[in-house]
Amino acid sequence: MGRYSARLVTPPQDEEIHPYRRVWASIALESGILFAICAGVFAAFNLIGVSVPTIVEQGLQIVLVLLPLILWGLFSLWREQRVPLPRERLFAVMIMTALAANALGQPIVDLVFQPERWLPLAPVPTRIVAYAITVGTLQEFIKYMVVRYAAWREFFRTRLDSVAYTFASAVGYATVLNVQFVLASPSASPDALALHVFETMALGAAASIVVAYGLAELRFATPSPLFLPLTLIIASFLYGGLIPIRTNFVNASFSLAGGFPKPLIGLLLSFGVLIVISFVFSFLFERSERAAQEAEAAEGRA
Amino acid sequence: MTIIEVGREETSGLSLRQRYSHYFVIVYAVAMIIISLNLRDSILYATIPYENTQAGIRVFYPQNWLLDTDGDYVFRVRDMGQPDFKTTIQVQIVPISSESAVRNLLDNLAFTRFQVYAAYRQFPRPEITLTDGTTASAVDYTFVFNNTDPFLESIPSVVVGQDVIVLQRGQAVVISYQASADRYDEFYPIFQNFLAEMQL
Repeated sequence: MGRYSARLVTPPQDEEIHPYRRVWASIALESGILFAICAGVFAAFNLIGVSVPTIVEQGLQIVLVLLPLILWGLFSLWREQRVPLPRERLFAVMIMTALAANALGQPIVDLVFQPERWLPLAPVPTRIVAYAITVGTLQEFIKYMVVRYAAWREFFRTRLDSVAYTFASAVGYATVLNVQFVLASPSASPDALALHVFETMALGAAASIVVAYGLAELRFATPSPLFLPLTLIIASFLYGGLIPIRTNFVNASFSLAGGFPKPLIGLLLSFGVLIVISFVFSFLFERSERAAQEAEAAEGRA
Repeated sequence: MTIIEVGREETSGLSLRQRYSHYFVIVYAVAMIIISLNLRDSILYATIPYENTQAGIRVFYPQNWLLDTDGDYVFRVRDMGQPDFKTTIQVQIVPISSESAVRNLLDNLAFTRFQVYAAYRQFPRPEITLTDGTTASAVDYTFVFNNTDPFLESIPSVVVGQDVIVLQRGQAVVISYQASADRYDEFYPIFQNFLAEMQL
């Protein structure tokens, strides 16, 4: 057996480590698990016809309502503490959004906009626009305001911090909507609740990613002053505009030929929207980051 | 191991571009809230004209309400979207003699309704002035509505109503508004608009 001198061992090389939590991986994991569980509950109760005692059903309701929050706590918040440079105020952003949603968002929708009084009978184009400018705009504006005043600028160190904070606000808002849904209809079956939980979270997260891009660009680049409002408009239409489309799948249409609800298509639509938005905006984030690095390098050479 | 974070240059305060960007977001949100309230009102209070030259009335009734002219009334519209008692606006013309007063008509209405409605109670209220300057008598009342359809398994609901009575050309025009007690105030502005736009 040969003996090696310590001088011949390759010296350790400087390793480039990523000191921040990888946001896209967390979002993919959380959304994937949420989709799998919600689709599983839907299949079990709706397609297979599983029947459980009332007490189990109520327990399942609580778990489903809190599922986005639990997954976010496990794969985002907990992981954040295990990286060298954790993001601060993530939990504060989530809590502040939930409080604002409960104190402002839901009461304004229920008492002022009252969409259920005038939108169900309106034509589809009117419904899409109206949901976007009422529910969509209010929700995205509240989430934007929380991130803007709780984290924006001083806590934004990289572009992807924007996604982390807006996703936290999406989790807070979606949790309040899910809790309100269960309180308003306590007898909702687990399969209907599973659909609602996933769709609320997926569309809220997709809209938040759009606003995240606007906030990141405003922090690290010099876009037009209209760029951030534009991302808010896109996010509002993404969330609000999909409400009537999603509802059309869940509720059977009334016709002489008979109507059948297509809730699975609604579930897949929400998941598809989240995947497409995530891929498109991860590409845009990457492109902006590379452009910024190239600009910095060019400055250095000059 | 030492971590060296390569940060970007910090600039103090918001740039003008960033400041205007946030202002534009707030302006957008406020504008959308105003537009949505306007859109809501334009859909919620949208009306359709109805004219009956034989009875001599022209009214504007709420869009999406069900029009019915087949009963012992000239005109009746109901909001069929309500789960229990359907909010109703009805116009009825009752011939009266020249000696009859509004009091006689109200007593007659009360007698009829006592037999039809459960727990009917009438409450007089001051006269009201319509938009064309006509003075009209008014009366409030309540009764209990019980859906007789056994398949609906509904529980009785309290209904609040208001009759506005106008005497003209030897006949009394009775304009009735009836709504479930918990929705009476919510729909009352619709009835006020109805009265304001009505031409007799």
